Amino acid sequence: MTFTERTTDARMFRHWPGDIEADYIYTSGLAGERFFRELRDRGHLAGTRCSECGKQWIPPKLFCEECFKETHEWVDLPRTGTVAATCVVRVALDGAPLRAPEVWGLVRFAGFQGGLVHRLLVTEDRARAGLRVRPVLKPEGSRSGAITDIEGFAP
Amino acid sequence: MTARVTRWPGVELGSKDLESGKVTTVRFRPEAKFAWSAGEAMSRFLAELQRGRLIARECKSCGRILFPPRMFCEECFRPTDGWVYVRDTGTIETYSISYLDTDARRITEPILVGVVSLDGASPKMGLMHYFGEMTTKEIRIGMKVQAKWRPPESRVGSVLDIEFFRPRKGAER
Repeated sequence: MTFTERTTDARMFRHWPGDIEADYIYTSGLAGERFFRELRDRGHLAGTRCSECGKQWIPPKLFCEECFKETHEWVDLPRTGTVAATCVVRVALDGAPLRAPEVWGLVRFAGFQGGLVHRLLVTEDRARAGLRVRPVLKPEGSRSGAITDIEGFAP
Repeated sequence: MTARVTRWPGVELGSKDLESGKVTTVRFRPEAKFAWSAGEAMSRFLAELQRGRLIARECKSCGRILFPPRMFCEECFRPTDGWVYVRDTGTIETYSISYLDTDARRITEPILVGVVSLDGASPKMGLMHYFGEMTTKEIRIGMKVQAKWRPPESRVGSVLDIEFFRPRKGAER
């Protein structure tokens, strides 16, 4: 019977390697485009404002979630924000352990709905909600119009 | 387009716009690598391919020669009993003339693909493969074919150790 002739030497087994080609190019969209251009060219963080209810949105939205109105006004964010939540990351995207842990957080801005999730440029023991932080940008000229143009948020 | 809708809203972007940096983009390629274990029967099958042979499993209960080989008979619900070689000749069961390549890109010279049932295996048992050395006019169901093997030194233990199936010399057409 089969089960008595089973291969016990695992080196006899073959395997088939594969690589799923799932690369993509993500475009920022109309509101994202303006946000990243402001960031790249002016070094500013900008959101949108609803002229109906006055709510301000970061990341910028083309439509107000409350009024379903198009938002045409653009407003700069305050220079500082407040950490709302933190997370210490110990594994990289591929699941491999990071050499040094990274601190990430959700940063909210006064008068704005939403916030930005980004790296916090603080040590693990200083990462806490309530911390006042400001964005640290890459120098002008080396920015590409991506969220990585922000290096992180520092106290 | 309808009477009311003359154009879709939005901004049309082509690959040139993306390459030239007209708009901001994020490019990402996930590392979606995997390895599929061939298991008991398929490991032997692949090893035999590298030696230029096709192997099957026999079920003594139903008498079928299972190709590709499997360690369990799905008809009898019992383990299969032994290894048997089958021949590298067979008959075209079905085929397609494909104007799409393996990446689904359009091609002008079609590739011929289909299923070959192999001599020595039970009826309708065989494998899917390419056909060569025949035209789109000549290929037909029932055609007798034979494997064209790659040279031994370039075989790796893959179904592509057979380059394609070609018309069998001397067989009636």
